Amino acid sequence: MNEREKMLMAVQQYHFAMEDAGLYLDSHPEDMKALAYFNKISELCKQAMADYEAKFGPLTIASAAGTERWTWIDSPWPWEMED
Amino acid sequence: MWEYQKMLAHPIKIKNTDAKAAQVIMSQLGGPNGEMGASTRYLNQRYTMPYDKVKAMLTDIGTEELGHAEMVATLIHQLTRDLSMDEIKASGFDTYFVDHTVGVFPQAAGGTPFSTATLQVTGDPIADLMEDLAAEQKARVSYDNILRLVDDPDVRNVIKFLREREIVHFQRFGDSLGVVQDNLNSKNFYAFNPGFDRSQGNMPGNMQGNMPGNMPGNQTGKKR
Repeated sequence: MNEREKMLMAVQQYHFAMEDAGLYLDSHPEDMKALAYFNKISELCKQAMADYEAKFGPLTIASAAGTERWTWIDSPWPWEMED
Repeated sequence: MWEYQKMLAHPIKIKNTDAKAAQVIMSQLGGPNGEMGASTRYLNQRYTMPYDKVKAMLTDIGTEELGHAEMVATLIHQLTRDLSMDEIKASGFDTYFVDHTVGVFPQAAGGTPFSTATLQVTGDPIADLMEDLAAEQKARVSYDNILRLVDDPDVRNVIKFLREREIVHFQRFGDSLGVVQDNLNSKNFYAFNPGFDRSQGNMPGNMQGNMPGNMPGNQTGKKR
């Protein structure tokens, strides 16, 4: 795994944990432990996304702002493998 | 609304082409138990679901399934994009190739194009959740069957992840059915359709004369 794949994997892991916790909270919205876990994981996810984007470009259109060219279009796209 | 995140839900890196594997995995994109069907059911059932917890659950699982559809499409793409003409002819993939080349076309493994004829939105919260519980089991079966057919460990890891998510979704829809039942009269869950009757006052014949405020299921006191 190269550095980009490693950093993206961190985002994928935190995002998955967040998403899964979110599904549980949908039917248990008053579970304080679950809420605390979600809050912790979503912070870690935000940080991992920011770290990735700083080096490898935007993960959402919103973070494509502020560059000299529109980097949103750049490869690799998620379904591609780097050659 | 939906925003796109430029990453897969789970990494996918398939080193070897395999037309036969692609042919069967294709069903989990456009087949009767596949991810496109799942997201179509859940995202469209939301509109007549009257309980917040379940509106959220349908939205969130429906959204997750869109990401899974992308993963299945990615598997198909990576398994087929470098196929040689010899591999295409020898594997039986030629009947797909003639119409789609190595494009990713949503269909079942047997060739039936994706269709909402394989799914339902009944507008009745109990029936819709039963549909969803069944859908998750059917998806689990198809992933089980793919694991019987495919050997490549890179592919198997992705399929196992997707299969595990179906089992978790089944549990979550079970929770959601509980939410619906908690809001209804346990002496008769079918007295009325909370996806339709409460908003219209169209009470089924045997409940005529009851004011909506006294209806079972209105114990939360929330006005529409």
